[in-house]
Amino acid sequence: MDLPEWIQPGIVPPGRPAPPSGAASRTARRTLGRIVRASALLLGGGGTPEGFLAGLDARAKLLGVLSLLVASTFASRPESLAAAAGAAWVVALAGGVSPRRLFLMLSFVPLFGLALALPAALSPVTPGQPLLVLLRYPAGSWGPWRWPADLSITAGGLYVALRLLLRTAACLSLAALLTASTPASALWRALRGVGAPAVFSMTAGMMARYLELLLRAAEEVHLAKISRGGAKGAGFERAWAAASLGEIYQKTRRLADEVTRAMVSRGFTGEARLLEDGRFGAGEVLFLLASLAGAVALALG
Amino acid sequence: MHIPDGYLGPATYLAAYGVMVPFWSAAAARVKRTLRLQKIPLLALGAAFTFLVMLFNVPIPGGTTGHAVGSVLVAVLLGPWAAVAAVSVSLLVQALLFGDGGVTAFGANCLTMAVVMPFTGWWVYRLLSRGVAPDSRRRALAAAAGGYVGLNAAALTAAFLFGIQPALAHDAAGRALYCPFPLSVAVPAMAVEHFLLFGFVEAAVTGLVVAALARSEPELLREPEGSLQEAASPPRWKRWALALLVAALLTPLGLALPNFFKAGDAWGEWGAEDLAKKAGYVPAGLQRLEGLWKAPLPDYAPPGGGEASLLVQSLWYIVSAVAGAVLVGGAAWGLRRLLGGRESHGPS
Repeated sequence: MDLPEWIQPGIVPPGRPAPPSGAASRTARRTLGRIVRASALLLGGGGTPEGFLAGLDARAKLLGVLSLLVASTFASRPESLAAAAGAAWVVALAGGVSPRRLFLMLSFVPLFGLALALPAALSPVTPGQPLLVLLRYPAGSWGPWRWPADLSITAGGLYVALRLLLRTAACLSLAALLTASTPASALWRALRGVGAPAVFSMTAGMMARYLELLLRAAEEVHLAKISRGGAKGAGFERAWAAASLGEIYQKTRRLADEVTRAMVSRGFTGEARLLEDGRFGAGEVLFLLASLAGAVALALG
Repeated sequence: MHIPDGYLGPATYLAAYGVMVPFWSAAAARVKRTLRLQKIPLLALGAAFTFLVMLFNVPIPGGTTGHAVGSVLVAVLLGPWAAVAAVSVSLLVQALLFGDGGVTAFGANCLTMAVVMPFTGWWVYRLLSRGVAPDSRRRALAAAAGGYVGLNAAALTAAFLFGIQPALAHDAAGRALYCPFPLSVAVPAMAVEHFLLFGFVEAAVTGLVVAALARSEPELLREPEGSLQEAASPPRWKRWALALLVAALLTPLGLALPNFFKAGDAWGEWGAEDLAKKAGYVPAGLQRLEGLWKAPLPDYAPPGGGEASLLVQSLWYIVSAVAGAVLVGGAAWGLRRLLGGRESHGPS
């Protein structure tokens, strides 16, 4: 699902008026963009998972990836973390995960990760041998805060920032490997299968369906807003966003009541059969053993 | 606010999971007892709604936008225990499907956004809106205040979790293994942006949505019979036990803050050794009486005292606090039984 062409900035189809501009309109567009991207991911934007990874039982994948995730938080060498991230990508791509889906899930990582990790390279956070002096000023202290005589990028700081980035990249790649190769519904069943309370797995399963409706409703109100109005100021935008949320809440609350009545009338007693027959074959055992071996190597490496 | 993977060490994220397990169990038990599983759609709605709230951009001064978390809003609409379950599920979906917040940090994210935020915000809302009609303007203001306080409480908790990482885990060269920002950086950074900016976004969204609902459908703000709102008022002894538990978990602040501010012992609480350093001698009476009683947990510290790491000392602080509370509570209960017999066991 993509943004309609006429709504994208800078594109005005022939015969149509230019879409409204201004800060308020940009806010609505940005929100709509987030909603459309969320819908695309939630509704399987990259298509149905295929390949050998998609064929594995979700419980085996969940346990295997969780063990690798935990191990990557114990690893301390950047080389080990880079190897974990690289291996996750190779396995995902070889296992049939669509590169587009993988990219979609990890696209924000470099920017977000850099914004958080880069300050760690500076001397006030990680003192040490300066590699590049950015600013000089008198050293001093105030209460628990102390600052050195210069603001510089230190060797130790770069190492800390690199390790932090690689650890985040490894963890996110592993999580993406799991979720890009497993439909959301199978993931919730797997959670139940490994002992999560029924309330949570059922709620997660139903939430995904509600979310689809909520996202559609939100998309409609934003599309209607962009197509009808120009910029009306931040105060109006805030009130409009809140009123829209209120309206969407009321709509879906009524829907929730209807769904409850429908479920009860069909004999739902609160007990859900979420898990189909287990299919723990040789492939699953092999995947689990390989993951556990990888986890041990990663944690010790 | 979503803590990504890799920023918290195993000691912190496993402890966060440990803290969350009782909350998840209690939330699941309350859902079973009060809503029954037939009402799962209501929880799913809460989870989906929280997710959606985080997608709605709101303009903030400076030409940029921010988004609310929505935990307090869900707590106001469905009750705080429903918020624990709904926001946890929403965070799980975000972590697994959207990479927003880590999988290993999921427990910590739930602690901040599914427990600290909805409970703090809901208590503020209840305090300010007690006895107020559902369609009153004061209710929207109370919800806004709850949103502001709840978000800031959650941000400070997240800042604390970030800030203790350099002290908890570092390599042989002293470089941080996880989040490298100490408390002196993490707390002001998180506090300033949430006190001055995001807190107001949360307040605006929470207050305005409640105002919109109060105008169009005030019944939704009334606490319905058998809802999780009702279930959020446990018996008095349970509330006390919960408050004591929270207080016990916060006791390591008594270690961390003096370390942070490089403070010495409290005035007048010196031992003989400290006094000898300060005054140059130890009064004979003090020396004689000091060894009279050997405390089982001297200075609330493990055997070896101050040599242990801050984490171990913190754990001993918590153990000491729980043991002390149980002993004092048990003694008070025993005294009450002794003096007052066994009357009045009705609901209080």
